[in-house]
Amino acid sequence: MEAIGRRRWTISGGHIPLESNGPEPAFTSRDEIAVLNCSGKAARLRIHIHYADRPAVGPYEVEVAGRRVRRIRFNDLIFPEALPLGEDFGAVIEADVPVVVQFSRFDGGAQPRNAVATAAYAERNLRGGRQ
Amino acid sequence: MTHAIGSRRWAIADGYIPSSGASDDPALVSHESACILNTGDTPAKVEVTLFFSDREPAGPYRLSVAARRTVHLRFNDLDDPERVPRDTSYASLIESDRPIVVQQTRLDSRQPPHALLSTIAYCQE
Amino acid sequence: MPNTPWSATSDNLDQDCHNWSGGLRFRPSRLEVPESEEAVAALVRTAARQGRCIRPVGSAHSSSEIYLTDDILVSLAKIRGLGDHDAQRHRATVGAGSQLTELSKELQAAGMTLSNFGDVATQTVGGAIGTGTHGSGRNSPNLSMMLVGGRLVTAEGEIRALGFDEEPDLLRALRVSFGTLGILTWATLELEPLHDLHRQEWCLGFEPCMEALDRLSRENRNFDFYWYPRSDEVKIRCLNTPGEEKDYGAFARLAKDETGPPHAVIPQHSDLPHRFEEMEYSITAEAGTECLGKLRARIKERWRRWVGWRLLYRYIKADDSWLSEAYGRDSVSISLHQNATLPYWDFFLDLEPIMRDHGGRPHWAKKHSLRAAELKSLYPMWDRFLALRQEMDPHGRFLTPYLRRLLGC
Repeated sequence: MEAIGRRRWTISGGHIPLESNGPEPAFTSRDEIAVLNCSGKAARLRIHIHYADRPAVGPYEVEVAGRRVRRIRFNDLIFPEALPLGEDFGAVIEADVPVVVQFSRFDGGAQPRNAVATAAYAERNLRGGRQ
Repeated sequence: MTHAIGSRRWAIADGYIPSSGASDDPALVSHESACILNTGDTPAKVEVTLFFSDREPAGPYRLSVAARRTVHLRFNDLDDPERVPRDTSYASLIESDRPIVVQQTRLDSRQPPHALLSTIAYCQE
Repeated sequence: MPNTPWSATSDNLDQDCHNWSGGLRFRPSRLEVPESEEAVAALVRTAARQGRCIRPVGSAHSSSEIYLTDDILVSLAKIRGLGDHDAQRHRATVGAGSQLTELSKELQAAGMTLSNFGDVATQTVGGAIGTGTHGSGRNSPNLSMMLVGGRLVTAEGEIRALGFDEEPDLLRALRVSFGTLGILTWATLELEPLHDLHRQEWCLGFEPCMEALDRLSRENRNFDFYWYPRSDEVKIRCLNTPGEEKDYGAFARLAKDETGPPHAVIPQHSDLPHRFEEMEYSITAEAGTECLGKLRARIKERWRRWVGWRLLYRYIKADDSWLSEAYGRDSVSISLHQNATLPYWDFFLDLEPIMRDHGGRPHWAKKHSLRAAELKSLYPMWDRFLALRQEMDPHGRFLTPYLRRLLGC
């Protein structure tokens, strides 16, 4: 299947809600990406996490098999270093094959409970070539 | 004549249909939709392929979107070639022979208050 | 090349030595890597004449200060490999500096295997025995219980042959003594005939795991589990003789399935590139779930913001090694982890009292805050150990300031 997506994605509004209510892991508050790899080969992801007041941490290395989707909770990343909850962060996601990345947040602690989702920002190739 | 706006290849990476809802009211059942708009003058033939985390993709699911019409495709209702599993992560690749626009919406009514999310899907330029 | 994270071998070290996690740094006045048991004995005799301290070191995986010294550090990296062995009786004498992974390959070729491993197999034989390294299983004691004899360089610099049958109390004291009675150069180990193990890992929720825990821990040869504080999920790890495994598909999701010799399937993180710090306490098996429940509640209430690492829950069979964590009681051990690059002490110190309230004994090679006064009450054989230690090393050749505070001598 023809690959769809981009090799470089960014999320600038990361902030994992601290409080959770309800049965876990389904209702664990979280920031999450869903990564779709339509290509026939595994996608190797390298994620760097950026903070407001200290150097970026990474790479976090994750693999998404070919023709599969994988959800990655930022809460669960611990190598090389666990992300703090309740702190602003940004993420840069680089893949060695084109993938589609969608960001979502589930906040089960605040009232009212809410969820948001949005496409991540994909790097555009300003010279017009295909990515 | 209306200008056909959009793209022919779209993807929604974050698909999920919660299995239960707070009510039997169809409007309040947890559901997920791909809202497809065809602004062109020609019907769009659309194929949807679903991807999963632990098995081969399913599909294609075929539908048509008439000229200057919109179809709110409820993933809950798809059953040919197979039903979309509940409580399971999936992603969708939506391919059309004409430019279309795709917006994802999900209602999660498992716990009150309900959570509604909506976003434009990713389109290949 | 010495089997340590550093490569300095000169007596003028121009850089600090550090442990595996990088959290401990120190500079010995000399780092010696003797070629033979006789050379170890000569080093000790010289140290004795000069009134100096001498400490043995294995692979420096430990994150407690038991081997830190600003005096003489002795690596046994060149005293390694398989010596005399008898595959029929599955006994072997091995160099105390043998790294467990490498030794296991030699043993495999000879048709034998260690009965158990910890989560890593980067330790040396001497280090793993001396610190009471353990794996997990209701019928699996810590690795030091394999030690049935060997050879020890004494504080006088003499070479002393050891045998459990001849001197059982000496062996009971020596097994877990982190190099404070002498320097073990060759270890005679009770092993097992080579066999395969089937490893299966299953993921499930915390509550279902607790409901099935008693059964799970009894019907698997080796069993332990991780609890993940940021998802409240559990991963259980089961190892069995092929054909004796159980199917938990009704309430858990299979995440890993592999079969191989023990050294290939028990340790899982031998090449882990990511460093972490760890605190571990052992408590009685009966008190395990209550203690775990309190730790879980505290972590969820207070520590989830900073701590993403799992908690590890393991089983250790009771033994009679005087300073063993599992002396006289079937135990579970609970380990807390934190990335080495993040603050960890506040987290560990907040949870340590919960484990101490349950009669917890700290792992000698990991982080803890206890000193002699607190440790004494935890070990029935404490005084006998200290008396024997004093008799064997009256001048404190193997003691550092840390060890003097730890042991109260």
